[in-house]
Amino acid sequence: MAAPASAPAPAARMRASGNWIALLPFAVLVAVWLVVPLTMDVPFYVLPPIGTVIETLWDKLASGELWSDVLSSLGLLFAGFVIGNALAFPLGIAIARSRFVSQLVQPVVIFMQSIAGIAWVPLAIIWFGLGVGSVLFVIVNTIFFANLYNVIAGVRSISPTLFRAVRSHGGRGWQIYWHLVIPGALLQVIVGLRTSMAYGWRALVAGEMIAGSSGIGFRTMEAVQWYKSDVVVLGMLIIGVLWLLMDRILFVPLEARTVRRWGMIHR
Amino acid sequence: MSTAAGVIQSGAPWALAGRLPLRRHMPLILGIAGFAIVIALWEISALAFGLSVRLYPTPLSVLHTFVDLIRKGILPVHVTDSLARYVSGVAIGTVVAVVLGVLFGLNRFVARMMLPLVNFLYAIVEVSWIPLFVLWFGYGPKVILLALIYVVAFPVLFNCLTGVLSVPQVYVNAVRSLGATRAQVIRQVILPAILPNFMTGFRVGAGFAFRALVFGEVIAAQTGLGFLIFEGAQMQDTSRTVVGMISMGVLWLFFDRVYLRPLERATLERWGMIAGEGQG
Amino acid sequence: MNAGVLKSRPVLVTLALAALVFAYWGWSALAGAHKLTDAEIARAAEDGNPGRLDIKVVLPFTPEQFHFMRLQDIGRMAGADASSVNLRGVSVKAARALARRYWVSDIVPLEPQ
Repeated sequence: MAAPASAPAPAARMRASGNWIALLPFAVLVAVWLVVPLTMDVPFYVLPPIGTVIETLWDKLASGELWSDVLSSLGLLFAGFVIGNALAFPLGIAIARSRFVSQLVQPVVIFMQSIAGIAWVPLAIIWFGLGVGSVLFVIVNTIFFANLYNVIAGVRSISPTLFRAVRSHGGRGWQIYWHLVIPGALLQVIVGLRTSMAYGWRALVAGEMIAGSSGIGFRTMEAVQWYKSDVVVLGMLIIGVLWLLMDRILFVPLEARTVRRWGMIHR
Repeated sequence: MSTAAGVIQSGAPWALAGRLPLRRHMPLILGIAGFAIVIALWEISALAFGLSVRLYPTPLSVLHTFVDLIRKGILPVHVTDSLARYVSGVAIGTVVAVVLGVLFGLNRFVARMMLPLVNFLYAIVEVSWIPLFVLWFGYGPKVILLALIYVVAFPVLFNCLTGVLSVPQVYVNAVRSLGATRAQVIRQVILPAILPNFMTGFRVGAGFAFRALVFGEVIAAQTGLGFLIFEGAQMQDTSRTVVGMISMGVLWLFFDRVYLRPLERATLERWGMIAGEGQG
Repeated sequence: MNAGVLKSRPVLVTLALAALVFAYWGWSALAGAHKLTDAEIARAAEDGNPGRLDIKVVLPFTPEQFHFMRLQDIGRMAGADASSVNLRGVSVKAARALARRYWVSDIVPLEPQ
């Protein structure tokens, strides 16, 4: 692979050519995708030609359908995140601060955690019908349990010295919670955001596929009925791209910043 | 602080328990009490909502259905079917991933080249492959097995690749310079080095795979716990659904506590590294 | 790794489970032979075809979809009531396997109506 012209040092050239190398597998895949439908008689539902997929992408962008689906999915994810955390914080803080609550509640929580998420979809459908309500319920469920341990670990990791420091500065009751406990928990939630959102995102996509009436997951599953493999492949690619975007733009930088700044060990 | 919280935090329950010979068993007692409270709240909520028991199951109806499904031989079949699918999917996925991981990892160049592709395919969340698999293979257990293999293979492969890449080239060179063959390099240097990464990937993969199993069974199967959960909703007999969910929880806890965690502990103890707990 | 591995939790639990499974197989084989005796098999044979049986599967409960599907896999359904299902053309092997199921009370030859 040729190195870019402006790379004088051998080390830099090695790294740059390393980046080019990474594109090779993708290029091979795209090439195969281009060639196979042309040379072999592959039915549409097995492998839609890349041209059709791009056409579909264009159509959906133009009609605005793509945006509304993506926004619907992301919006649900965000709402689920907020609600799930709002529920996880009080319980998590209570568990971390009181041995009594911890021993009382943890066995139940451990059990509930093992069925978090998808298993609730059929019940959700019966209670909330198909649509946003059910999907939101499943996401909140997943994020609640995913973050509960983050909150607990975050509070537990606050050193007693800090507590004494706040108290010695005259802090009492709610001030301790506001200035120390909640930020401590929040920190660990951010550190563990990448992992917890991995579960949340999967719950969103899976939930939409079974019980949704809008959003990317729903569209992708719906297209199976009509054998529209171009929509299916498009949906998959969009799901992948969305996660990568969230990961690179949000989670990785957050993780790097918090871990670097506060020197915490990532779980 | 309120007096109730104050009482609890002052350690009064333990002082009280200390008077009775209960102190040692406090965690167990409280744990059981916790379950009892949740079940009681459940019963109360059922009464409060006043919905038909077919739509909002009560603890008793669930227990009754549980016994009923065992009596009729239904539950054991679903449990064993789910278990068989899960174990075979995880086993095959792990083997495929380890083989590929070592293969790619033998050559740092190849590993670095494949990593972004693996990363991208991993980002296309496993669940979003299921529509495509259904399109290709129709509804049925084949699809579920395939999805499971995929779900397990990617975290394991990804972690193995990053693990291999993190082995300092110095070690490999040192061993090579002592005259080691490729096979020996793999056995002595690469495999031990990637074991912690493998365990992390395996734990993540096993967890995702369990959820993918249920998801797959809800969509594409005629037997299994996922199917049972869905059937209950279809039949408007939510007690069945809850029995399926509880069985799921018990099954996962069994698998996690009996197999996954001891395996992780044994691996990490041997190589003395700090383990990551939780979701991995 | 030393002998301690053998005493570890995964190994012990797996061995215990394996023991339970074997015990169940043994019990169900005995029970199955009791529910469907060779004499009954002879009596249940279809006219002109001793390899296929006409049987009445007696159940301690009302059969549901789950059971109908499994029974239809091994024979032609010829009627059912609140606690039994009539099957025709069941192979001897399948009938014996069915008898081993713990949820089957009894299997008797199907009396011609």
